[in-house]
Amino acid sequence: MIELPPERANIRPWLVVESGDRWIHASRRFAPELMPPNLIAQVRHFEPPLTVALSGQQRAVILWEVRRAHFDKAIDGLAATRLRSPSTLLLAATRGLADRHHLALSEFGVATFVSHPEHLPRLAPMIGAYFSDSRE
Amino acid sequence: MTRLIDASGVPVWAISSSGKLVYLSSGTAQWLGVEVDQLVDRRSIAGAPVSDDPLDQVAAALSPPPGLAERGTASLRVHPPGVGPSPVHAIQVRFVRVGNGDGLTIAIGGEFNDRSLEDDLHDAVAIRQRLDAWRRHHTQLATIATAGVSPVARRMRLRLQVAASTRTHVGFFGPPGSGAESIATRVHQQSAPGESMVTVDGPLMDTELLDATMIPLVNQLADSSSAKATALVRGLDEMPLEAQQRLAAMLNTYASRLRLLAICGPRPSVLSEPLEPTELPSAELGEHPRRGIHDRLIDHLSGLTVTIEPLCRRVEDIPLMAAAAVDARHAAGEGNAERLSRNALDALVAYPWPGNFEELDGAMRQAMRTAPRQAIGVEHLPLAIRSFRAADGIQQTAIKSLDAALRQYETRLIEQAIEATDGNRAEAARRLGISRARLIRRIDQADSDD
Repeated sequence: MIELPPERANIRPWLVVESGDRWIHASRRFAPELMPPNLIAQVRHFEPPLTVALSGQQRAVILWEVRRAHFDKAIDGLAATRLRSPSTLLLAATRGLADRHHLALSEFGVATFVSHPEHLPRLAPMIGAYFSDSRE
Repeated sequence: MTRLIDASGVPVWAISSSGKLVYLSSGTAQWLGVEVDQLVDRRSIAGAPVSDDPLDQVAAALSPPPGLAERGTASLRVHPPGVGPSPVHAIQVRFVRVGNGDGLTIAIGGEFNDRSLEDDLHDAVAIRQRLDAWRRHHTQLATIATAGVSPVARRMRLRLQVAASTRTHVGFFGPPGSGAESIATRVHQQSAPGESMVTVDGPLMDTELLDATMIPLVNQLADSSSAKATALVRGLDEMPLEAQQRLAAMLNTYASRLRLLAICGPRPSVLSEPLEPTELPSAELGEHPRRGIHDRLIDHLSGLTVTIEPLCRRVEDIPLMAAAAVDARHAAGEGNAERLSRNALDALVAYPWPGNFEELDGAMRQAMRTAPRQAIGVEHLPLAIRSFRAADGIQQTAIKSLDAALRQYETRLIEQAIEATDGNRAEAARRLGISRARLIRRIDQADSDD
């Protein structure tokens, strides 16, 4: 049986920024199901610089773990990402943050928030709309 | 009183607190073949030494069993030795202790049927207790299987509420391990409490077996025109077609009095009348290659159906269901754990659950046994769950042959060329370096392959 790699044009980066591996595992489990049928998510940890991570792709998903202890550092990273690639879809994985933190993150372009891995499947309509053909 | 007892002819005797026979009825004398006066004042104590006098031995045989003073009553089969020409037959005797302190023991001979009644009552109580425990078990499982906040769970509970509020045929459609049997049992308990139900294992049935399995219900329905009953059929879509036809006939015979609760796979096909044997491929003769539901049964099940989604489509319900399973087992004293750690919940959420709810329930059962303290960690979960790691999403496309791979690549290039030229096939052919005729042939070939 011959196996061919998928079309590079159909691969979309799904980048995870976190200190552990909770969200990389959750993303590998659920990201494939959230993508439109013709697209494939390439899930990996995000290492700067962003341009290399995106590999020339205009559209990508970044799931950023934001903790209270390193909130300012997360804000800096999100701001830099937004500036370099305004069209990326930013998701924030948060726990124990106050409303003011969420408001600040929204202002820096975070589209939505998740607290636990089981919340990822709810994002199917958003991910599908983000990657829809008319917008690419 | 003594005249009445003598007139009855029943063997009755009395023993004083000192253990001596103080009264014997004429029926006793007749039974033993001796005169009453010959036995009065003789000792009648169980286990006491007796002389060689045959009458002493007869008196001793009339003694009550040990422990009568504590229990107050006892039954014993008494067979005294014969002293006359005729043998003495054994009789059942009920001993009753009356009075406190210096009480009197009265012995009454005869046939007593209360021992078998006690056995019947004991059996009935034991069966009832087990049935109640079994029904509570299904109720608990059904509650956990339908728990959750997802839209899927909410819609399922709404349909189950309707099913539980009306006595009608219901079809439950879901993958293996979805807990459908517990859910269906609970619907039956709520919609028809006290009504008889028979569980039928659909794949194993033929017409004779189905008749034999349904006999208790059929008898009940035949005995009374107002009787009602329910048949819960597991795997209806895997039931042989002839058995399904037989079941459909039963439903028509008893109309609304016989109710069907059917458990089926997620997407069964609809079957019509079976093919003639000659129309079947020879390798399939004698087997049942077609799986599905007979259209006559579909008619009955069309009123109300409940779809039970696989667990992988109810991901956000998994933490709640797992916690409920742990709670239930903790309340039943099955382990020390009271909760799941967040890491354990993450692992449960990430696992795809090919075995669905029953696999989750089994995992919680194992975790409760393994966890020594209050929290269940990842290390207490079954190996398949704690070691599961999803792939990174990039999967290879399997192609069966080199020719198929080349055709797929060629088609892809042609599509890209046509898209780049806004549908201009002539221009697309020129850019690919082939003739327009060849390009059209390739397009037609790709369409026919699809």
